[in-house]
Amino acid sequence: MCNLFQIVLIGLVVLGAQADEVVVKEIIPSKVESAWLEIDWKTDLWEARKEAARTGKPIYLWEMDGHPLGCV
Amino acid sequence: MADRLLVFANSEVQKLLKENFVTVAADDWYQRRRKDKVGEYFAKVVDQSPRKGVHTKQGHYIFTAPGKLLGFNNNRGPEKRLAMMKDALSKWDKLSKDERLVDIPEHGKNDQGFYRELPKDGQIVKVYTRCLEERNGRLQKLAENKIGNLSAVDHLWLQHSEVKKLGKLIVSGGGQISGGLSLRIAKFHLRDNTRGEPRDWKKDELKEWSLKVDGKGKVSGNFLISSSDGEMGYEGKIKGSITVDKGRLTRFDFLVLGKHWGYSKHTQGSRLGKTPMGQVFRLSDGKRASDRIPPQGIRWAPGYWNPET
Repeated sequence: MCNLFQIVLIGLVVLGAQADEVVVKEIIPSKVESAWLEIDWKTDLWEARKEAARTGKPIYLWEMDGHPLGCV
Repeated sequence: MADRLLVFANSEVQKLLKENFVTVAADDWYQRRRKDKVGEYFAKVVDQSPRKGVHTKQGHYIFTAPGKLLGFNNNRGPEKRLAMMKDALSKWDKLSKDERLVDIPEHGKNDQGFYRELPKDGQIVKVYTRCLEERNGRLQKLAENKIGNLSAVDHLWLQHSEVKKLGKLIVSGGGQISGGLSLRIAKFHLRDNTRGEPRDWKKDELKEWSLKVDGKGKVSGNFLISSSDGEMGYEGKIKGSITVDKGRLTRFDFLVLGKHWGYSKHTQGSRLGKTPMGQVFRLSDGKRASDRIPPQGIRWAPGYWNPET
């Protein structure tokens, strides 16, 4: 049997975990922010070259100082 | 960051790219320096563009597998980018089959000076960072329509030996997470990368640093990091949990909340004073190419793996 103190303590722990989850959701990218990842970005130019040769498509290269997919 | 939001989230841009192009993204810091087949191929393309002879090779290029440049643009905004893509496709349509296709051999050895890959059996943790503000009694993100307000992403790499060591520490009842992994997190991952590339912290800038895990995998930590002149810093707390099963991480969740102040050369435009910042660390299975790109801090690889140096 839990006494009142234990019940309050458990309640505080649960509330704390819920508050953490709320702030985690604030920090991670939203769906709108992640829309650019719907494009199938490759990270290896040579693999892209091979695929372009195989599929008969041109290559689109996004080149940035600091990786475009992960620097910021 | 602006391209992600303004250009590559645009539905017309997405449709055109998905249907007509092979899309690839690369870090120019490595790629322009590579002395291998990849570097030679890239240089061949660049030398046909306005970036020939220029230090930076940043921009958006469209070219063929054999290496003929069809378009270059470094402007932001979907309209100019769409025009560039359509113009390149029109040039592409006029090419002969031989100009479009070529047998691509294996590229041979990568230039290890400017190529990074996850060590064998290593694991990846995604690190999200966002500037926050306190509203209505709780921490919330700022409006998403401004570049520095977006969630930034980096990757923490762990070696297999480090994961096994973490597992042993938890089984033995817990204690301080010490050595390279702990310092790596502090120096290279507790940073404000929301507006660009931040500089790494120096070891002597860690004024307070503690990172512990207990026997159940519960993580707690606190830190105060400050430049010698006090102009830039970050202080806060870490909590989370780690689970290691059979020598593999199955959970690596951190929530870092604190206050950051100041900026470095490439992160100007910070808010004034000490302002709230939050970070979330989450284990990644590395299945997507975007999950496997190297940590920003690994350009000098020995310093990343052995941050005591």
